[in-house]
Amino acid sequence: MIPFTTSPEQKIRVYEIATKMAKVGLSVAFINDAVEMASEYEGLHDLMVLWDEETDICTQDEIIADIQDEIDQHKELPRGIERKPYISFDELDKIANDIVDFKKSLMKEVDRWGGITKLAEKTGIPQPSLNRFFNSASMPHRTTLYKIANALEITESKIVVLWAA
Amino acid sequence: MDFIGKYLLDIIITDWALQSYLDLKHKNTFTSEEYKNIIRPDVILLKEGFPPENPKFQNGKFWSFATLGNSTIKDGYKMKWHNTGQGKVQLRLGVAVLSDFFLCRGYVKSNENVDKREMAKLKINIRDISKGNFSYRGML
Repeated sequence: MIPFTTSPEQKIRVYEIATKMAKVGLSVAFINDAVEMASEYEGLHDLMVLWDEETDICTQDEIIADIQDEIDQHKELPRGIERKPYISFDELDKIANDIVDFKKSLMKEVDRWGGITKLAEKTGIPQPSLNRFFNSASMPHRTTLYKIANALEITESKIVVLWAA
Repeated sequence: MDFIGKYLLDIIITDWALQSYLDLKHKNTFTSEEYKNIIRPDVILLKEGFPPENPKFQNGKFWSFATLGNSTIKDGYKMKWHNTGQGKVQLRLGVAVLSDFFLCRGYVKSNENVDKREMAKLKINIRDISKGNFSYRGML
């Protein structure tokens, strides 16, 4: 049996929370993705419940960013075990710096284009999630990169050049 | 299983562990010395087998079941380090114990809410690992 599968009762709670998310203006794309994943993953249901029970707006924003992260990771989840290259401890700083430099250059493109609020509206990615994306040294999800590239009308080759910079 | 009834498991580095690690390292959550002299050797203690018998693992402030609310997360555990880095933060590492030890996300426990969110994410990770769907970044 696969652990942490959402129960029927939890699914009803997910739909209730989705309605509340729509009322506060979260995008339809985000809510649909969240509901779809939370209908299967109890852990995502838990995140939605934490959002629902939270009264602090900043913390709610953090939870929205968490949910978007999980959705993006789920979309890129391999079917089976994917072996990615091993990275040694000594390489980590350089890789993290490269990622941060890449995100800074992409942020400049976003600023020239119209800014992060406009990007959130255009892509359907919640703004807290974009803020986290640009401020983290984690490798970007392809899903996020393509949404941003499409909004900015940046070509695939330019994204690759920026990423490799 | 070895002759004294312990399971000797490999320590798998998942991509979730690597991504969180990149961000923590970049934010100077811990120093290179702390990683090399404390964190990594502590994690490698898992190689002694499961259930862990090293005295460090008897201390709930170092190793415990993962919990969310009043529920224990099946197959989920937490490693804990206290007053780490210049910011003297509480560092946590989610570990799934299945066919092997799977290192999941590291995070700074800045408050209880963060811990709850990370435990929810650990449940997602355990589900994916159980289904055999995850990215592997090597072994310790």
